[in-house]
Amino acid sequence: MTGRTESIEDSLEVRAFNKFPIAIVRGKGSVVWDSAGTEYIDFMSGIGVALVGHCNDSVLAAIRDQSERLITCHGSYYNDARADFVERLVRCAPRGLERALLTNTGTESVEAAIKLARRKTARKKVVSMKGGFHGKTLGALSATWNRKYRDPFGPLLGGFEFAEYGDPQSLDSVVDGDTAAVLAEPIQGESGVIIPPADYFRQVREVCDRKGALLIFDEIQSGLGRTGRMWASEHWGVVPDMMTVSKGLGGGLPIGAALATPEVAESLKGGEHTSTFAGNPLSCAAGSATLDFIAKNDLPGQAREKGEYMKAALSKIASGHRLAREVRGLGLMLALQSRVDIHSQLLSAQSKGLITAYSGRDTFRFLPALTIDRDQIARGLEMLEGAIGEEEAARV
Amino acid sequence: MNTSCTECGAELAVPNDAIVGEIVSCKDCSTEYEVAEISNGNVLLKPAEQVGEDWGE
Repeated sequence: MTGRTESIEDSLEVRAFNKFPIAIVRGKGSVVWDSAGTEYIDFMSGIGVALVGHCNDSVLAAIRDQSERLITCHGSYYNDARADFVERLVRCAPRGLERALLTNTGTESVEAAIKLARRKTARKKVVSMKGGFHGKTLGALSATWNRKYRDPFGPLLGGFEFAEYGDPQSLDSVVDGDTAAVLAEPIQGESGVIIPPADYFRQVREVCDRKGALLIFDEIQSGLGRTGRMWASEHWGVVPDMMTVSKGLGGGLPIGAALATPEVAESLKGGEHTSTFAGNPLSCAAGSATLDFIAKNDLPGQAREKGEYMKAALSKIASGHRLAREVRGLGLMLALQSRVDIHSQLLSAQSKGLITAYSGRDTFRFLPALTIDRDQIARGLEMLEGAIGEEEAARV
Repeated sequence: MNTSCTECGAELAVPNDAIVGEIVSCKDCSTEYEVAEISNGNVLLKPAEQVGEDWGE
């Protein structure tokens, strides 16, 4: 039955999303409820946004406090909530990334990083990866691989080329003296949680250093502890020249940043790249509370420990079902690739009380809150296995 | 079992134990195919339908 919420959205919104038939109206931690009061375990968390859980108490307190003091403050004026936030962000950033260009979203962070790279190097070319996803605004889209996102909106920006992810020789052949930056996700999320070979990013760093290109890591999905380290790049000990971050950064509120070295940052002159809402006090207060919560509760450690548990459980499911192809991931950035289309399995899992993300047509993607507990993981996986088993039985 | 991608000509590896409905992707151009039929050890592929729901993130 279509409710009022669904009817209004269907008739008045531009259909940017193809929607599942559920109206989610409430959330807490790793649980959400629909308009009928049905409870769901949330393995999706808004595609990794509810990193510290839905309606985290610390974040709520910060939002309430700040909302009664000042919600908006243009970036041309200083603000204490913004200062507190950037101090925290830079403190936990990779070594050398001591400047933050605040934004509102991930795709904006990528746009900012691309502009900074071109401004700093005076070069035009940006090399990104096949299978990479960086956003759907035109600059970020130009660096995003999947043609179904790019093709309807050409012509895109010039100067963007792609290299094979995980292949340093391919990168070396594409990067040249006109390359401003190499842009890559440390772990490709939208492609299905693809982890590169162990030595790959060390070689990427070497190519960039040799050819004078900046290295930009897109940690919008993989960052903030999700993979078991604060930043996924730490798994390989490679430090970029810039890094983009968003999704879980605001505890659910929209906020993002492009972090850069001082040398890169100083190439931008005042007024060249600004934003009305970036650095607003409310999002910054939520961001500070989120970063404090991550540190205080060792969420990277929790992701590592619970991720090992969840990956082992997923592997056990996969070994018992011929429809399962492969389990991949680090920490709580996990995927189970099916051999067949998973659409009916997704709907079946939803009917059992599990919401999860996906990649393409054949891969379940799991991005739960890092605060999820083992019981919720176990119950969610039981629902998932039920959905897989039903699909298998139907295909005999 | 090997065949060729109709989009880019690259070799497509189809598992020997492929099942009907199995998704096979071209590693070069990412075009997706679905196993439509298996008969006498031969596999017939069809282009996979466009994914409707997709959050792309």
